[in-house]
Amino acid sequence: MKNIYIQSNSCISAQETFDTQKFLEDINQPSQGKLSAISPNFREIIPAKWSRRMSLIIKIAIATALDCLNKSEVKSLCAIITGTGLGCLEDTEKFLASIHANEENLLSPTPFIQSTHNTISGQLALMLQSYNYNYTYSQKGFSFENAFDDALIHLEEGEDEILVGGFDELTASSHKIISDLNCHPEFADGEGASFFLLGHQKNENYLARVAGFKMVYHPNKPAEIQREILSMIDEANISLKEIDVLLLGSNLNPNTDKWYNSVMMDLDKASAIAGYKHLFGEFHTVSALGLSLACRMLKENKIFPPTKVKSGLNENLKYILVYNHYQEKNHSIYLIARD
Amino acid sequence: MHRVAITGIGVTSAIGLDTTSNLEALKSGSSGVSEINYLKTRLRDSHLAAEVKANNRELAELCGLSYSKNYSRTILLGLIAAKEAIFHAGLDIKDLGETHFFNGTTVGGMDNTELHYQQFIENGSIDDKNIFSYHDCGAVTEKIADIIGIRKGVSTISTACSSSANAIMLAGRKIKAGKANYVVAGGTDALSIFTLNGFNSLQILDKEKCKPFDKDRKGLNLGEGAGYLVLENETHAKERGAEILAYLSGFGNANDAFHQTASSAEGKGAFLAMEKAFQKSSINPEMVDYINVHGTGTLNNDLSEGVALKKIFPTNVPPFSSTKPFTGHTLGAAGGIEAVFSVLSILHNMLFTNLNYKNAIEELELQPVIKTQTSASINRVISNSFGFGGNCTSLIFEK
Repeated sequence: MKNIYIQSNSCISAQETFDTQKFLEDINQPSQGKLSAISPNFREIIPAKWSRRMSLIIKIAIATALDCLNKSEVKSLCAIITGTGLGCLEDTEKFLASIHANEENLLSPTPFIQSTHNTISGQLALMLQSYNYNYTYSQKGFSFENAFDDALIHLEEGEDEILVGGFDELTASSHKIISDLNCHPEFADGEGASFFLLGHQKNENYLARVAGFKMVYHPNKPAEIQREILSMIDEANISLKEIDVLLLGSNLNPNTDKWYNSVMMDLDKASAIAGYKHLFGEFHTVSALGLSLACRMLKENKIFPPTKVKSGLNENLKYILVYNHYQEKNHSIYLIARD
Repeated sequence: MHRVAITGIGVTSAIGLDTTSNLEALKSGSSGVSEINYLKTRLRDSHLAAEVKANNRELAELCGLSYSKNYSRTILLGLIAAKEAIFHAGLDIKDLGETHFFNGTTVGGMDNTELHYQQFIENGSIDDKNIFSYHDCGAVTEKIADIIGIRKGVSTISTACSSSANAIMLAGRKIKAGKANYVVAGGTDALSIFTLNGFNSLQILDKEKCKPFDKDRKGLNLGEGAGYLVLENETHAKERGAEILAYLSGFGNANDAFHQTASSAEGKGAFLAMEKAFQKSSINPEMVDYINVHGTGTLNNDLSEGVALKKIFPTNVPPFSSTKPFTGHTLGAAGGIEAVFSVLSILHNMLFTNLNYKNAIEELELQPVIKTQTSASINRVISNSFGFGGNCTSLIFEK
C-alpha cells in the first residue's frame, strides 16, 4: 500500500499558530477560563463577497482550509471531509433568539442556513467548485478523527488529495454550560480550526508521513490503550525507543490522569514528553491542533519550549506519537514520521 | 472485496411505530401528514407536519426507559427503530460488542435544548442542566449506542437531509474494506421548533399536503422518525445463518457546488451521485426497477432531480415515487427511513404510490407511480437523498 503524507496544514488557535514564522511566540494565558482563537486578517484570505456574513467558526474554518490548500501543490481535490463537535453555535443561538423574539414569525433564514453542521463543507465545495465526496462528522471527541479515518480509507481505496479539517467555536453560552456541566474542569475552554491536505505524494514541502492511526472507543482500562500503541509501533516496524516525542492531550501535569500516566510509563527514557491543552484549551476537535503541533515539530525539528513537559535525549525528531482522549471515552492515537 | 448484506431493518415514522405498520400504511396509501398535535409551536394553526403518533412518555415506555429522564425525542425515536433492526438481524449482546453504530442526525437534542434556551439566557441557568449535555449530535448517537450495548465504535454524520444515507454509505465502505463486522446504520430526527421555523423562513413549506413531482407543488411538509439497517459482510451473514433481506450494492456521494440551499437547474450533484453509485455497483441504469426519489415537493428539488433522472436514464426513467407524502421530509432520518422502504420494496415486490400527484411538471413530463403495485418484480432499487450544502447521495439496493 502506498504511503500517506500530510502535505500541508494550517491552523488557528488561541496562540499564534496561523503564521508559522511566529509559531507559538508570545504565549497567551487563559482569561476567565477561556482560550479564545486569535483571528488572522481574514480579508487577506477570504474574498469579501464570501466573508461578509460569516460567523467566527465559519471564518476560521474557511481561512485555514484555503491557507492549507495555498501551501500545497494540490491538482485535483478528491474529497472534503470535516468534523465538528458542536457546529456553528453563534448562528444556532442567533436563530433560537430570533424564534423567541419574533414569536416564530417572519424570520431571516441566514442564521438557520449557517447553523447546519455541514455549512462549512458546503461552502468550501462552492468556493472551490468541488463536485466530489463531501462529508461532515459530529461525534464529540471523535469528530476530527472520524474525518481523518474516512480520508485514510479513501487513500487506501486509491484516491489522492483529500482535504480534512476539524473546528469548533466557543460562545459565552457554551462556556457557561460547559462549566455548569463540569465537562473538563482541569482545562480552559478553547476553540480553533485546523485543516490538513493528505495525499500519496511526498512533496517538497510535505510535513509528515502518517505511520499509524487508531481510534479506541470507550476502553475499560489503560492497558487497552497501551496494547494499541504497542501494536501500532509494531506494525510501523519500529521500537518504543524510536519514539522521539510523546505528545499528549493533557495539560502540563499528565501524571494526574491515569490514561496519560500509563502511556508515559511504557515509554523509553530517551523520549521527550510534550502537551498542548494548556495552550489551546479543551474542545471536541482540539486533537486536530495537537496533530498540527506534531507536524510543526517534525518540520522544524524542534520541541517548542512552551509545550515541553520532559526533555528527551534524541536530537533529531523522526517519530512523534500523539495520544489524546476526550472525557475518557474517545481515545485517539496518531503516529507520524519524518523520513 | 466483500458483498454488503442487509440482515435487519427497523423504522418508526408518522405512518407507524414499526416496520409492519409502515408497510401496511404504504400499501393502503394512508399518509401520516396531518395537523400538528405534539410539537408546541405557534405554527400549528397554519401548518401541517408528519409527526410520529406518540408523545415522549409513550415513546419512552416503548423503549423501556424512565420518562423522568427527559430523553430527547430524537434519542427515543432512534432507539425504537434501531432495536427493531437489531432484533430482526438476531444480534445478541456478544455481537453488539463487535457492532459499529453510524447515525445520521441534524436535530440531535435540539428538540429539548430549544425548550430551555430562553430560560437559560434570561436566568443564566436551567433547572435540569443535563438537558444540554445531550444537545450535540454525537451525544445523541452515543446515548443510543450505550443503551443498546453497541461498543465497537460510533460515528455521527451530519450533512442535513443526506445524513442517514451517508451513514449507510459509510457502513458499506467500511464493510467492503473489511474494517467492520456488523454495522447498524441509518438515522433519526425529531420534529423541532428550530427546524420547522428554519424551513418556514426559507419559504419552502407547503401549508397543505405536499405534491412531489406535480406541476402545482408548493413545497414540503416536515416529518420526523428514524430508520436503520443492519449491514454485514455477506460471508459472515451466511456463516451465522442470518436471513439476508437484500444487498447494498452501490453508493455514491457528490456535491452540487451550486448554492447552500438550492439545487442547480441541471441537477449536477444528483446526477453525479447516481452515476457514482452505478459505477460502484455492477448495475446499469437499465436494470433499475424502482427509484425512491428525494422528491421533497419543493419547486426547486423536484425539477432539478427530474432533470438528473432523465439524464441518467436517457431512454426510459424507471417507475419512481417519493414516499415523503406519507412520512413528511424527515431531514436527517430521510435516507435511513427510505432505505428501509427500498428494502421493503424488494422484499414485497412493491411499488409505492407518489401520493397527491395529479399533473406532470411540464419541463419533465414524468409521471410517478400513482397506484400501489404489489406484484411488480423488484430486484433493484435506487434511493436518493439530497441535503443542504449541495450534499447528494444515492444508494443502490439489490435482491
